[in-house]
Amino acid sequence: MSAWAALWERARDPNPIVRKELLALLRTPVYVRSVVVALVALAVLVVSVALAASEGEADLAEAGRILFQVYFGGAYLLLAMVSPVFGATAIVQEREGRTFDALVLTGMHPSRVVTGKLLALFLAMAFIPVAATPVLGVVLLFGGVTLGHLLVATLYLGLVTLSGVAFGIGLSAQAQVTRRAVLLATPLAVFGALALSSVVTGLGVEYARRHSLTLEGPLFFVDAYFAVPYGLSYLFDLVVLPATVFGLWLWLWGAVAYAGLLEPSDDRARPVKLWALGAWAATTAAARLYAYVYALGAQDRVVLGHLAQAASGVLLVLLLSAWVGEPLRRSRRQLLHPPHPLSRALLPPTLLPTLGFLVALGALNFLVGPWLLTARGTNLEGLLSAGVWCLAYLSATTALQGFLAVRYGSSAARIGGALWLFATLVLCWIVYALAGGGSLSRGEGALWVSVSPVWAFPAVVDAFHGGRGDTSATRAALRFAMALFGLWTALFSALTALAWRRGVRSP
Amino acid sequence: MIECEELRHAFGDREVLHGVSLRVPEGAVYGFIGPNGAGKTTTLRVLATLLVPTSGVARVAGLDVVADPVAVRRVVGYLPDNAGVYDRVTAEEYLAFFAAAAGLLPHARARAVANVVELTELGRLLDQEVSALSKGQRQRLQLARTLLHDPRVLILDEPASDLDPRARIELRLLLSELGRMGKTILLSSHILTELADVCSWVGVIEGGRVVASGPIDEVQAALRPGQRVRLRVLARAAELGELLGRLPFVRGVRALEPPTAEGAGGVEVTYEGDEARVAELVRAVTAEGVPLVGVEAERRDLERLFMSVTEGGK
Ligand SMILES: Nc1ncnc2c1ncn2[C@@H]1O[C@H](COP(=O)(O)OP(=O)(O)OP(=O)(O)O)[C@@H](O)[C@H]1O
Ligand SMILES: [Mg+2]
Repeated sequence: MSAWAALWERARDPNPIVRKELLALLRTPVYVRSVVVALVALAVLVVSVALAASEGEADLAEAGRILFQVYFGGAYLLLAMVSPVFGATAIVQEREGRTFDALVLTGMHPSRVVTGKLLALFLAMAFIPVAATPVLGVVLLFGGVTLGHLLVATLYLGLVTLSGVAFGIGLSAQAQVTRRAVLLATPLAVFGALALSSVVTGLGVEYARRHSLTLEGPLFFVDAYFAVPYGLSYLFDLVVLPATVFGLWLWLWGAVAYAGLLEPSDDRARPVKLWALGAWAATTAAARLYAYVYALGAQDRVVLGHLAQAASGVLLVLLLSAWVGEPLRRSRRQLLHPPHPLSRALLPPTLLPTLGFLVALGALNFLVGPWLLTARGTNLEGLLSAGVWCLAYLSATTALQGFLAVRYGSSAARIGGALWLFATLVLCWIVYALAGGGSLSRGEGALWVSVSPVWAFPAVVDAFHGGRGDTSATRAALRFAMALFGLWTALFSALTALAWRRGVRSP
Repeated sequence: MIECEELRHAFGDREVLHGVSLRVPEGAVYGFIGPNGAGKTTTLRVLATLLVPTSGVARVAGLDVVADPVAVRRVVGYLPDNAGVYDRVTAEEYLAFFAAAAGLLPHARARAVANVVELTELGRLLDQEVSALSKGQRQRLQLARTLLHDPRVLILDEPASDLDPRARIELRLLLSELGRMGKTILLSSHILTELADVCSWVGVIEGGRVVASGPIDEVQAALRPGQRVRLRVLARAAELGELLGRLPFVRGVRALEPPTAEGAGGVEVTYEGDEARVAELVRAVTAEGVPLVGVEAERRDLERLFMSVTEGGK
């Protein structure tokens, strides 16, 4: 057989995990039973709505629209909640069932394992709505809903399911115990489904306002695809934005799952580091595009910049708590196969350079990104102040946790990080209140809360964009916090260097 | 084929391998024995690339397990101790899955599965769901799985642990067959007597250190110099010690049990030289008119070997 024929044979070869998982699932009574129950429930729903409509001689088209909204609304909530829980068992059950070693030893690439699991569970979940299609076809007969509506709604149902499964698999790959993964996935899934629906509703309101449309029902966005005039904003809102959001979400949890399948001697944080860089580039580009499409004025661009700073601040603090568990030294395997120096510099594999990487990512997020968003001639002072403040805050957090990780281990670092967050988010406000407070808008007592992100952003907006008279007290408080963070960073960096020289435990 | 030098491994701060060195030549069947917690599984997992040792070198088929795990996995079939199987697939689907996962091309898979099924005699079980197989049948299925990619080296952790006596004999036959096919086999086991006939080499590990390693006869000779034979008589057992002690090639005589009232009993005689000496022993005993009823040369006895090597252990 020629090399080409072999290559072709391999390319056509489906992922074996998909077949195996689906076979096993079809023999699982619980799964089969739930599919049947779901279908029967749906049929009953369709029939009763149809009957009610014909009894009352009501508008059939209206009944069709209601049915469409009810069915898909229900299906979204259900799949958004069930698929993460379902995904959460995928990989950890291989660990618990002691089948994981055999899988690793087949030499199957971890990314292939992840995609196989993802695809299998997605197909298993998606089978329910697919099987429901004939029942749902009845809606078309009622009128009021077109085939296009059904297709768009189904596409989104697929995306939501895939996202849910990916999230579950990400949890699953990091977990050691199935029960814990499921227990964690369940509340997060409920919370996620609620968050998703409120975001969608909020967007709907904003949307209807912007395009002067009347968008009906919880699934307004399906209507939007047929109601919004074609153009740049159609492309951005209905194609680019959803693709970016779902793409980044899938990439994130795919990377987390992939990372969880790597061996301790590999650089496990690498997939997520790559994601962080990619997410920075993608969201900056999307925000920039948004500003362009809607021809935002200078003031709105600044607001967008501040929003980007705030959102990335939350993300970076989350990443910090994940990366503070990085190994202190390179593993034997990494020493034997040193990565390319460029790759090592961009995506460092050990703790301290990784923390440096995080701070560099912070600089991109807090300074470069917002700057890229602004129009020429914008007054950058406010954005820059907020950016420097954020970077100082991140550096201080990172320095503290880095020191704790080197000196006492990663769990101490995480506890220290949580205490730090508590101190800057809550404690300083308590102190402020006890110290007598004062009017923050006049800058009274601002020094107390100047280390708190909750204060910093409104203060910056107020001081630099609010057009008020005297803001010198607020500016002084900002400078005070930056100086404090700077000293703090220097102190803990020095302590880290000292601890490092005294010798760290071998990995 | 397999070489370890000064392997050390620690779980957290606790070192469990303190410099394990061993060598398994190509084509050997190597029995790796040691008490519970000695570090057998840990050593085998290092060799199977599932653990990275803290220091030391391990090579399989010339490939470094730390530097080149992917290549090592292609030449090694590893049967983990106490591993699980996928429940809701049939035995055939199970094997087909692993054949595909191991990267065999579709056209080669059916043949690979058929080969291992024949070797492990799984033919009648192929259509059964794995959850319906007995422990021993599952063990055979897992063994079949490790053979799918036709590895040159087999690393088997406690392959006999869940098997009944008949299945053990079958496993022994299978291992000999695999040995004849030229595979190098490293296996650990508790069921020491079962291994004696298959293994040509043996290594004993205790407390994370290899205390003896080499061809089985050499190890035995080094640890217990001299040959041994057991004699059984119907009377005058007590006299045997003095009687045989006179022979120049006899190193020692040990009563196996106190003689009965009639004087019946057995002794174990340690002697130097080849089997011709046994004939001389028998002649000496019968010449004195002692009623000799049994002569039993000592089998290669791993259990005793094991006990003598690990004496004073935990
Ligand atoms: N994952 C682990 N974490 C911590 N300690 C471990 C781990 N696995 C094994 N050990 C310890 O390492 C030592 C060696 O274990 P190992 O499993 O290699 O022994 P073994 O010789 O295979 O024993 P057995 O005959 O019981 O299978 C034991 O003391 C055990 O407690
Ligand atoms: Mg063991």
